[in-house]
Amino acid sequence: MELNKVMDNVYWVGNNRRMLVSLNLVKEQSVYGERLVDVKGTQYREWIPFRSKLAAAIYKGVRGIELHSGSRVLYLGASSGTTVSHVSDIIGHNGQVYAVEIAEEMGVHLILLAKTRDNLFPIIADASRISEYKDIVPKCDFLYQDIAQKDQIGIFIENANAFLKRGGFGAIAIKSRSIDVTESPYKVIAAAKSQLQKRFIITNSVPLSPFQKDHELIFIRNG
Amino acid sequence: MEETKRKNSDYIERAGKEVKNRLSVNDLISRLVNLVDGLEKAENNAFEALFDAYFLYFPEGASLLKERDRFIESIRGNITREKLASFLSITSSSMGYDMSDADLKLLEDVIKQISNLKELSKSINSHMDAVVRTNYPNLHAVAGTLVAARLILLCGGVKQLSFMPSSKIQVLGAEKGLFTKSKRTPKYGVIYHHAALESANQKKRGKIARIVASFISLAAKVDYFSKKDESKILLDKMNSKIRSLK
Repeated sequence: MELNKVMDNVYWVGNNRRMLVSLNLVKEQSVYGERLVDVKGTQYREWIPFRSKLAAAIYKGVRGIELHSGSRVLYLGASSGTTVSHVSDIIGHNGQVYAVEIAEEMGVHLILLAKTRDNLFPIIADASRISEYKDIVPKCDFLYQDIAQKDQIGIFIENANAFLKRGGFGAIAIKSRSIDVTESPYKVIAAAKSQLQKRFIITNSVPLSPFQKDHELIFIRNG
Repeated sequence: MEETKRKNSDYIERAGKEVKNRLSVNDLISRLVNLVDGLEKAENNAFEALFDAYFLYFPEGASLLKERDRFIESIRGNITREKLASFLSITSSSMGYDMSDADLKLLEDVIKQISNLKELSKSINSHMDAVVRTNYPNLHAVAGTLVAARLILLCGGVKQLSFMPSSKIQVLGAEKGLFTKSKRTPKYGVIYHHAALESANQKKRGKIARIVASFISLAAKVDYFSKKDESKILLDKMNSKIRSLK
């Protein structure tokens, strides 16, 4: 099998039916039931686009996501750690991912995952209340947000002001249904973009349509 | 590297403490409600399948025993056609499929397990009753165990319940009716299962629901803020208000 690099520690496997994989940081660990693939003696984990919005964006053709080996990432809305585990794969042992989750039951899965991965820092807190975790999170290179909240853009901007480095990058997954169900998704996303444009430079924006319904992943740079 | 590792374990400890702080008796109550619901569902499904299996063997007898409790009571000692026929005083000749003794033995086991499930959900209910009574005495007295537990499941805890307006408590659990394009808002949600409502006249149920909801909100406030047992006063007031409706 052939490996084609997408970004640090992330590859396409196979020629005909390609599959996105990330280098498995912890050998033989399957976090959410994904397949493990061995190529030339190294183990990779399948990154399923239906489960993870970041993977869906890569499947939709996004390149140049500014996540690198050794990056420091703040991840809001970590849930049980599906996407977080892949981010942790990408940044490797030298990176750090601070994963904020509000629900304690999902947080338990996250904490258990963190026990196996030394670059994952679980925080059980509300992402809209920065004061709860202000003194334990340093400045970050990348800010990722995947929370289904009405005020998710406001929360993103607040967190970016507090934690994102100048020139840092970010991605925000917008679920138009949770901002306004009655409005058409296009309008909601257009409004969200114009709100983000006031504060950041939007570098890329991709609808995740076959993988996630009415979702948009917007990539930004902190100017 | 070493330092990173140490830091990570600090965060794990901190997050673990946070989780432990947040979990409370409300979560236990919600889980118990879910457990009872699950058991009930399982029992219903199993009973239906069992009934169909027995119908295959003795349709004449089974068709007379459509109520669940009666079916299980009558069939327990009288699994064979002859015994059940004499129990029900009908003839034992049947157009059903002739099952072997081993088949009937299996059915008997299934009946035993289903009645065990029933016992289990009963004991869970009585335990839930004790839990709600010791932790939320006022809510328990005013709403009853079942309604109190379901309200806690729906809104996440007594804290949330105590901050809720009583009009919201009244329709909690009827979100489907509340958010459809119907002409009228629903009169009651899960408080429909309250004893005062179940026994009431159809025409007065809406008014009683309003009174009950207001007292549930009051009881939740007492339970959350003062933690005193004022259940007698609340219950008397509520009952006299309901009575004065007539």
